[in-house]
Amino acid sequence: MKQKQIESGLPEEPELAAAVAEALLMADFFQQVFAGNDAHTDAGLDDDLAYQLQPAFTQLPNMVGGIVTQVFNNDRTYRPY
Amino acid sequence: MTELIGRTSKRIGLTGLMIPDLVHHLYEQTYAFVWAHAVTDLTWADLTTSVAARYEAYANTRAAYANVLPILTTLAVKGDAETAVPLAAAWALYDLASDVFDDIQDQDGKDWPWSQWSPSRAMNVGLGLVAAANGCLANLSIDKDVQSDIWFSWSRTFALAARSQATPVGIPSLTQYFSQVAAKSGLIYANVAYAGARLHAMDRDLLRQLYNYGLALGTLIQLKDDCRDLSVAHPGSDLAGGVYTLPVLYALSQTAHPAYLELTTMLPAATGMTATAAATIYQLVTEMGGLHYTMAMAKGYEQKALSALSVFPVEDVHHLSAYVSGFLV
Repeated sequence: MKQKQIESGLPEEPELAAAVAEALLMADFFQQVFAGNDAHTDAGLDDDLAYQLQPAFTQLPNMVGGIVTQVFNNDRTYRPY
Repeated sequence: MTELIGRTSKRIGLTGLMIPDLVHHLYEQTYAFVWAHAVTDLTWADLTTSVAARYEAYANTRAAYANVLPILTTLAVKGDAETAVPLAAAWALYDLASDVFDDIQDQDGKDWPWSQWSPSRAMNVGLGLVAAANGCLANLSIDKDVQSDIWFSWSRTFALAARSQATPVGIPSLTQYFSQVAAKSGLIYANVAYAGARLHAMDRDLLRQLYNYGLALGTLIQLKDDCRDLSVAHPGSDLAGGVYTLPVLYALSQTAHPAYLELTTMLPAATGMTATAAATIYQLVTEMGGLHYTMAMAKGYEQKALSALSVFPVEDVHHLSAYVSGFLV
């Protein structure tokens, strides 16, 4: 730990690591969505996060086209918001 | 103050946006504090000019929300707005200082007074602003432990942001890109939102929600900025510096796209490129879905920010909600 602090000049950054991990999860999720895959299962997202994100997709028809709606309409495991 | 809270009347800003009276009032209070406690006594013309320019530019625009963010999060936990004014003043000055330093580094010719000055002159103003911000924090009338908590979290976060700014990565991995986004924007807004709430609240869950709100807000701001910086109106400010952001990174991941070859041919020559070349790259990135992808990510963060507010009474967070909801309209 001490060596690591000397190298970086700052203490460990758990908040930074958590923010990046969350962003990578979302980036992968949207990448799957844009690729037309079943993002809900393929990206390994938990139900809660997908549930949380779903309203965003319904507001995006002009932004990302019908593919998002299609993904969610076809997602049999999805809970209605 | 009390009579303004909950009122819905608004004023139309210079950009045609509707700014609620409360936000406008808090903005005026914040800058009144800045003038009284951090600027006037210094009798430093350059610093005064810089603060005045920022005040004029942000008044009656959505940016006013950003300056008063810690007051809005204080109100979210039913705290006293007056107590949070020095915190907002400190945040406004830190934010201004970071813009001054950023403009010195980028030399991108924005129409700010410090952009017309020599780097040494602007640098000293930036340092003066940091000192003035510290002075505002010292004016907080709060428990020492709370003050220490805020000092520590802000100092650490701003140091992270400075480190990130000092070590740009030209063609970053996604991990490196999001690390930069989090350090330079997400964590800053998270800790500013947290600090406002921390003035009044001890409840870890509530504080965590407002931290999460700020994190999502700061992230979506950066994602939107990265789309804006790619547009023709900002001819390649990122690309010209050899820095690839998410829209470009996404486009570069589309190796089977018909435009991939043309994009990879044009990008290495982006440094110092013409407006025409910038427009072509912008068009290619758009065709390849880079902007849509980034805006979808931003929309996801908008939703996360709104979700973080869902545990609070609507009337306590409607300004925070309006602030984040307006970004991607």
